Amino acid sequence: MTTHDGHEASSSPYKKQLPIIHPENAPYWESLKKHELRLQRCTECATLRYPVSPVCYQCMSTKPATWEQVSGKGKLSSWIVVERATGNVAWSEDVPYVVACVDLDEGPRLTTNIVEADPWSLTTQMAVEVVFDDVTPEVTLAKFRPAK
Amino acid sequence: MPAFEMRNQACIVGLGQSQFGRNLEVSPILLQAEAYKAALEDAGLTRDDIDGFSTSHGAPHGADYDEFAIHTGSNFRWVQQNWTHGRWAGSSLSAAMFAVSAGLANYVLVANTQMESPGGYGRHYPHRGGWNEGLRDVGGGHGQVNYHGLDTAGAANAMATRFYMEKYGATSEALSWVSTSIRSWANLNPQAIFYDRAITRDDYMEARFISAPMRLFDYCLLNEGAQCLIVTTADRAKDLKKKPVYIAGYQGIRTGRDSSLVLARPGLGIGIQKEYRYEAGVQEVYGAAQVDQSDVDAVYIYDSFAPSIWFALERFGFAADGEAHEFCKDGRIAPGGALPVNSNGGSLSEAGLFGYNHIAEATRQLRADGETGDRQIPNAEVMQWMTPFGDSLILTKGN
Repeated sequence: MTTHDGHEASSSPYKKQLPIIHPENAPYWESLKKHELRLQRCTECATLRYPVSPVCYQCMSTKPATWEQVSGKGKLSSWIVVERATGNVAWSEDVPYVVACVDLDEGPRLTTNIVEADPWSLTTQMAVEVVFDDVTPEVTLAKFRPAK
Repeated sequence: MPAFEMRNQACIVGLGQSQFGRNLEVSPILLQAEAYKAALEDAGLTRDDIDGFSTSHGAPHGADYDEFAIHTGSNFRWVQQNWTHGRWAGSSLSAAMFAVSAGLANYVLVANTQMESPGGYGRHYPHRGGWNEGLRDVGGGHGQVNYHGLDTAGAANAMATRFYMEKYGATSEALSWVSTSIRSWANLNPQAIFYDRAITRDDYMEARFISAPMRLFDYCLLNEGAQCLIVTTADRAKDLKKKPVYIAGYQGIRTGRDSSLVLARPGLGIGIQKEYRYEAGVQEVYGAAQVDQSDVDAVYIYDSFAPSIWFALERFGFAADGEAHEFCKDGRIAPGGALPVNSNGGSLSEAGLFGYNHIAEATRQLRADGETGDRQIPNAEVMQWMTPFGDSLILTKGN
């Protein structure tokens, strides 16, 4: 049995949607599985890009990018506290949970979660650092927590 | 000068709507057929006159163009259907304007149907909680990233709202003015789903968070309903039943990394946007219509979420960067205020139909023939539809 997004439902009790992993974005997900955060750097114009893309938004290069490890350190840019899971109901077990935008020290702004923090204690520009959440045997998500 | 001068080439000549309600066990075909028949009656036209069709929100949220034509026995020689999203009301109207101006159709039915309430007909469709663009590598059309639990448009809008509040010192109390002002308009509109339910700013503050900082009343209605409008050329419009309302100007949806979060405005610095001080600059809708902001008697804003009203007012220069939260206080956008916003009650309180109902309301206000009762805006001559993602229509009574 497969779910609507194509993942094997029988192999995992994880009910939330998982990313669609395909050859062009596989290096991103493979590095997360190794607990490394890597983003693409354009081999033609050197732009560090996010979100993951087969095309450089700066110079439209379609040559394979290098996957550069970043520090995993950044600042909290914006966040929400989800009190009602009105999309996929599987998120109900986590409420209240925090979804955030994090500005990495290297520049790109990631959409992620803040964990290991009181959702109501967050402040703009607070320092955060990446943590790796192995949500299934196949998929690891990059989340962030207040910097230690 | 463009080769085609759009100003006053086309008119809205008919309006019709279905019942609006929540948890209606009514198919989109029936809702849209009710609205279609009402629009024909309003315009004094028959089905055989209508030879064009434009919509944006087909299945699974509404009726697809081909299905609708089959069910209603219509024959269209020009059709267009946009992406299944709410944001295409202006695009659908403009497509009709271009089609009649080019002679591709004489009379275009612009139609949209929504069936979103939890217990309504739409529950038979398997789209809820399923696939959406939040699984794209770049995230969804509202900035959603499903696997991080940012899987609704509202949550993404809340992310922009938090950023705006932190950046400009906007407060929840300021935000409470928006939905309560729009509700006050709905309380003057018997067709509004929330016609007989007033809310106070205290009610707003006491309501539960959905995605903080957004509370319950910041979210639009999820309902069933259909809205139809008929568009034809200015020449043909002169001989019809109701006073024509002229499409004086239009500009399209902006898109790109700077507009990547459609429910914010450029320069805010949310999602993958750059952050900079925003200025409205040239918005070509005003040049096309030969008016400016000071000529606009009322505005109609895409309000799936209350903060969209802040973002749209800044995008179009009614308020400067970071100032819309102050602008909307003290009843300024409510009945009797300096700038009426969504005098129908909007998606927040009339019905969630993505603004097709707002454009119908602007048309009624310009006809000024008694349909708008106590909410008639005195001496209304110029009305503007606008969205936080940048498209806009200007409607006028003509010369």
